[in-house]
Amino acid sequence: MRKVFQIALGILAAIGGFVDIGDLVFNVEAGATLGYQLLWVIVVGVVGIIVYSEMCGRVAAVSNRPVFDAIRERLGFGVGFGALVASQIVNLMTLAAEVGGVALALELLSGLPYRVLIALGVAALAVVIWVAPFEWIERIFGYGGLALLVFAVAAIKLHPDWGAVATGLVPHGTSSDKLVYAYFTVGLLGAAMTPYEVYFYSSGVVEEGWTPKDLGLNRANAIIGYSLGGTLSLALMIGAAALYQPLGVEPAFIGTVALGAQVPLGTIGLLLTLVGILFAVGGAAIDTCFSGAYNMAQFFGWEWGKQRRPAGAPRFTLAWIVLLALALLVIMTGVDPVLVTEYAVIFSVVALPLTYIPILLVANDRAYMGRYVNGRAANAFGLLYLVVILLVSITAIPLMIVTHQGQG
Amino acid sequence: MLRLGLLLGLLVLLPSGCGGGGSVSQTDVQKQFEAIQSLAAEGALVADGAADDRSTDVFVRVHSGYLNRAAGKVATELSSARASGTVDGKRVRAARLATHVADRLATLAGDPGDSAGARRIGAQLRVDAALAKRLAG
Repeated sequence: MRKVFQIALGILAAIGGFVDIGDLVFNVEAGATLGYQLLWVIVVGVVGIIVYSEMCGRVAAVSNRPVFDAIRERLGFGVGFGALVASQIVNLMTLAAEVGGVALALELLSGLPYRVLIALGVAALAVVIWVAPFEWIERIFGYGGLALLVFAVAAIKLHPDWGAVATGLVPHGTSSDKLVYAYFTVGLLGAAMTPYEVYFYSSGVVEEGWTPKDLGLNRANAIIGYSLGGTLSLALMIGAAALYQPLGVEPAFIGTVALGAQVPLGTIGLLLTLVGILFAVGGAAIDTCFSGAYNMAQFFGWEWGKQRRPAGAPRFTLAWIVLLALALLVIMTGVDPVLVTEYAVIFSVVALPLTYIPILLVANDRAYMGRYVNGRAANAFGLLYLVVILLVSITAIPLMIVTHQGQG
Repeated sequence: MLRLGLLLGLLVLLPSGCGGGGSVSQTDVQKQFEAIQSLAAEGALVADGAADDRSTDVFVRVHSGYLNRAAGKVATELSSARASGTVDGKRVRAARLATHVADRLATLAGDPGDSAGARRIGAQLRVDAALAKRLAG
């Protein structure tokens, strides 16, 4: 019974923690621009993150080695260092966007000045990271993020064209602008399979001391948690397609995301959305911050982990503090968090192969994995997604430039 | 390293977008009409929430403020730009419409608790959005 409860709690946290600012921005923009046409991409992206999260969680539980350990070993120092630099740039951009998202949600709730709220938000995140145990950080923000389930109710209340929804779940393209269609396809895949998620997931497995006995929990968390979390992404896109596309609204603000629940559900929908965004994006900020510190520590062989006291992992602690401070500086310049999010997602797509190839290699290495090595299904899906990842990583930046970030 | 430099360069250059003061084409003006339509339509939704007491004053004030600044930016860019022939007439019309939309959003942001005023502004913004859509072609 206790095990079932533990699994349920983990799944709830995974659902609430699935959506970050990249998902909020890209799903709503794609729905408003292309209607229901790209719902299938969310499904493809969610299956991809399930495949690789399960894989990297299994590798971490069996070998006690998180992703960046594998990257350094499999790619060597030079290429590995390139992967580290690329991932840290993307992490910093993502973290800055998430910090901005936290401040925007607070501003829409409180009406206080945005820049004051950036500083308060960062201070609050730093205190939570310093004080709260790892499990509590994950769960507090995951459970708070569950408020975003309001989007599922909102999407139904907006009376979408269910026939078009069903059609949208099958790959097809009726858009007159194929490049915009391709840009959002790449962006949605990037938002769903963003690298920091697997860095954090695999490091979390080591932090929580999972062993091969926990592989069932790993699989359940990845499959059920991400699948149900993916329904939030579907709801965001369906709601935006039903409400914004007919009006010609081009979402450019976090407030536009919240408006998507306020219109059908009133004040309660609005408040639940803003609280959900606050927790989901706040949780993602912490995940990203940790991911950056994990990557550095694992690459350079430092002591790392939230489970250790700051004095037990001083360079790891300094790394997350510096990352948070840098994100604060970036967002304090006044750069638009939504714009930063778009760049972060697209640039993260470029870095995807450097993250996922080593995971696939290690998961196939019997020396590390023993009898827990990848099976045929895991390899088939892993290879298929590797091809997809390579394709989108090559096309991401050219598409961003020629479509003016999906504006056509 | 060169690739990294290019990426960082893009990061710096792309957010700046196109500023005002330059020459605008028919397509540019059309895109600005679409932006005005978007801002007006979204503003109308915000105003409806305020009119029906289905939103919070803080949200209406803050979000209308963001929409107002965006519409003001469109108006400024169009006003300071130049165009040739018939396109210039459209540019002037778009600038005027963007200014109207920005003014209405500023009024909404200034008094989010005024339900009757919000209802009136919502109706006006819907008309603005329809006009922008028609002019965008």
